Amino acid sequence: MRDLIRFGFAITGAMIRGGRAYYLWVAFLCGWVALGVAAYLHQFEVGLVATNMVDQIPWGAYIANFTYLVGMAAAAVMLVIPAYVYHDHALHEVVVLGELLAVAVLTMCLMFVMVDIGRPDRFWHLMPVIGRFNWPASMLSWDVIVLNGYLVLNFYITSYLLFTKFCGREPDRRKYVPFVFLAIFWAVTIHTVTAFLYSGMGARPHWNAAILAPRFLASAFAAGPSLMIIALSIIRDKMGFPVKDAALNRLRQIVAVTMLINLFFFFSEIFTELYSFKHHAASMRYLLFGLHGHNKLVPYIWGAMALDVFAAAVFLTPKLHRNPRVLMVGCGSAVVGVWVEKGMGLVIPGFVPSPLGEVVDYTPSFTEFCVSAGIWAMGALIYTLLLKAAVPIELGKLRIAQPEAVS
Amino acid sequence: MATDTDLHAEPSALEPHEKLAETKLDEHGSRRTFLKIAGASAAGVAAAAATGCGSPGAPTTEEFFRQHYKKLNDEDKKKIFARIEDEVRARSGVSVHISDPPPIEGVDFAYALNLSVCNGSRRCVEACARENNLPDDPELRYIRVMEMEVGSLEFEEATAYYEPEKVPEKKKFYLPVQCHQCDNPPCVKACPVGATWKEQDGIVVVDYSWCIGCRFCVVACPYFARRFNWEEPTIAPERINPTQGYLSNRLRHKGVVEKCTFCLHRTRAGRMPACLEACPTGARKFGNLNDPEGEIRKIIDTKRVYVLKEDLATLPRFYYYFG
Amino acid sequence: MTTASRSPRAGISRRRSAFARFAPLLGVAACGLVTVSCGMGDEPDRLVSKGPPPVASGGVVVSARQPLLPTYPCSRCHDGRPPDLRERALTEFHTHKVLNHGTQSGWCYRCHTKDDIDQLHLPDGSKVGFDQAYELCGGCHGDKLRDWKAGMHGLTTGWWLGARVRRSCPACHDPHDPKFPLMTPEHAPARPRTAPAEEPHAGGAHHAGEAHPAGETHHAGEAHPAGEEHRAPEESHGHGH
Repeated sequence: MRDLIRFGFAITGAMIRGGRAYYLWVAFLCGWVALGVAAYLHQFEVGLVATNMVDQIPWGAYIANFTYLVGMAAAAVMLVIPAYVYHDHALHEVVVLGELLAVAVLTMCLMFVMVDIGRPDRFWHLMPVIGRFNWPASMLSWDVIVLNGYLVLNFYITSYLLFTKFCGREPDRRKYVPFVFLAIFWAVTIHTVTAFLYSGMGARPHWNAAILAPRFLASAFAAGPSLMIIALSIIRDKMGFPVKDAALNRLRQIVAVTMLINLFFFFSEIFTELYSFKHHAASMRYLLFGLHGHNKLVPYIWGAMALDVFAAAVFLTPKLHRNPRVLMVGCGSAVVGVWVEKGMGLVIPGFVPSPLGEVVDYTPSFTEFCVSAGIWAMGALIYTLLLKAAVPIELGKLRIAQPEAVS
Repeated sequence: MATDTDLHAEPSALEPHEKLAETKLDEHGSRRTFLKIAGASAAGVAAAAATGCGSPGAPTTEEFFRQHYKKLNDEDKKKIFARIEDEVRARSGVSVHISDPPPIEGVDFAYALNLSVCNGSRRCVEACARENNLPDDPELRYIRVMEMEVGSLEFEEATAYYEPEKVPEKKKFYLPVQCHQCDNPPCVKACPVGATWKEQDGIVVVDYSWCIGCRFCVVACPYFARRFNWEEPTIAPERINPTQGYLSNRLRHKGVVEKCTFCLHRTRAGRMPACLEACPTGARKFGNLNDPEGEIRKIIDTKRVYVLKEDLATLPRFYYYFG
Repeated sequence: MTTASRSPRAGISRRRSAFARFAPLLGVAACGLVTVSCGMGDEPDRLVSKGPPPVASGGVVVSARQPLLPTYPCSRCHDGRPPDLRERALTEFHTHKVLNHGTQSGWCYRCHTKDDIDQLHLPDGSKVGFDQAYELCGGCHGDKLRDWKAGMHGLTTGWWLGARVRRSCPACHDPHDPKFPLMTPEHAPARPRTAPAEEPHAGGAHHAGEAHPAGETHHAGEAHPAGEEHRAPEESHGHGH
């Protein structure tokens, strides 16, 4: 117990102390967070009228970001599986960093849900036992369970590993490996359940397709490891963590495959919708070409597809991805491309045309932009702080002051 | 009793807070006086609690910890209804009466609409708004009358925003859409907190005090029948319908979802829904599905009826027919 | 078409007994409601069925016509006037009446009874009062009368549980000019608050500004009953206007 308190003090100390660049970065993030908080307070006061959502477009940027981020959280398994199942040593060294990313990203997911609901004061209605949980009928109730469960799992695994390392002990495999394998299974469920939120909607033909869950996983496993590659490179450069090239290379191999699968799934969906030209293809037409003169999403989706294709090309061409800069750009393209394609590019066309045939365009309002940016900054801040403590522990620089006998 | 008399000697000199003290004293003395004054001050306190919490619709502590409708007993309901009535009185000066009529045993409500005679006058839309206390700013309406192209039942070819001088327009027909009170309601399935459910008589209701405003039900509804209060709804006091059902037309706040309830505060008392009474052409038919002599059964048995989006297996209780 | 939709309600017959509980209570309720009625073209307001709920079920009250006729009883004037059987412009009395009811509609005494002016008569000569005018209408529009009697056509308000108030045909259709009048619609729904101000109609952009002026569609020669003009696709084929 005393160790735990020391651990707490030590990581807090590590988070507080830092160089000038670190403080600047944290201050920068805090600025965005403050902006987000202010915007949210405004929204809380006036209601969701502060957003550009309307009855025809009942979900917007918040849920789009939420959907995307669930995938990013799930993508942590792309580090865990090679590390634990295939004993990839290079990845095993950085697996905790990936799991910490999942923790940060899940926190963002929950925040995006929180800011999206009309009565946040009633959040406790969502809690099992004290609230009234419509389980198992509602896919949203499943989502609450799996997201919180995944957050707890990752939080536990990373804390346990870091704590034992901090104490200078060998982690007890029985105490965490079962949870690691549970987390692998769980990661798949969080994104599958999130996909089922959409694909279960008979009212929305655009989502009502079996390909949606596989597409979600493929896109998540393309964007997530891409972000990991960027994060690990930055960690290596800025925090002096010796990330092996083999680790980055393995991740690059993964995203090369998943991005191709993602593109293939997307293409299959486009073909099925457009070739038969059924009525239900209206949403797809709206997305790709515009409908009745409404074409707000068109440039975004084509842009996203171009980014995806570019990323795939980088990942597959040795000449390109051997250059770290080009690889970074490729990874960035994958992250952004999937963000558009699976965020707004998936959520909004589901509402267009509305069930009564109405075409309403949507772009996020200023408030939505600020709140979303604030949550992203909050996520980055959380990840930064977690890394600030985790990296020295992993490197063995941050240890318990007077090592006690291993119990 | 002596205290009682003393205090009553100069009642006008007492400050309000002293009056509260008086009520306490009276509890042991004159029960009658106590009730009178306590009644008045309780209303005042409730009003203060309802209005004093910043923005309208902000929950009181009591409301915050309120249980789900289905867990409330009659005593709880009475208190809650009284609180809501006080809140409305404090906010708008209108005395309303909240009731909670239960479903009638053996009654299954259904609606039928004659597309051959509906002339798109939207009288139903406005009558519904008045009956159900729908706000005009921002405008919120449960019924959406679609102007359809002759020769097509495709909503993409239709519009709700028609504004000719006179209706019906040539080469058009009109298809009003409201909540279909589905027997397999996707909205009820979607709700994560059980704030919306199907009652025994077939009406799908929302507990506005339980809804968290996630709008998953809005997403799930294939008939565009659910509405969200994006901002605090406003309604002129003189337009408030004081006869209110807890699960139907009581005043709502921002952040929750609402929808047509077949006017359950009327229909569970045996009356016709407001939209039907307002229809100038007699296109709307309402009644008990189990009444073999009722219009609804006659229509279903003898007319070619259809339901919207039957392929979704929502099993609506809202039938369209040509007659 | 709806078999599938109805099948889950197999409980209908099981529950019928519960409904029957209300049936024996049928009785008194109706009389007072007879007076609740509307003149032609009036829109019923939502107060129509205010009052205590009647206990009866299943009763139907047909709104009375006679009390609404300003010149009834007709015999007040017509007694002592010989019936004029000629088709002519009415310049002295009833000048506002336009006969625009079918092509072979005949003249006044086709429906009014020349030797008993306070009554109407059916094609077979049997007399009916103004309150039973629907029987006369049914002489030609049998299908509509059948539907109306079953509650499937026409305006039925009041109580679904108890006496329904049913408007007689002339309450909505002027017997001399029965086409249902065109109406000014209530305002269009508010556009989504995010929609640009001058947007063409969202969804189906075919309607912009093509409002028909009132007179244009209401040709004197068209004498269809209400609703025929805008029949739905299923029935419109071969109808031809």
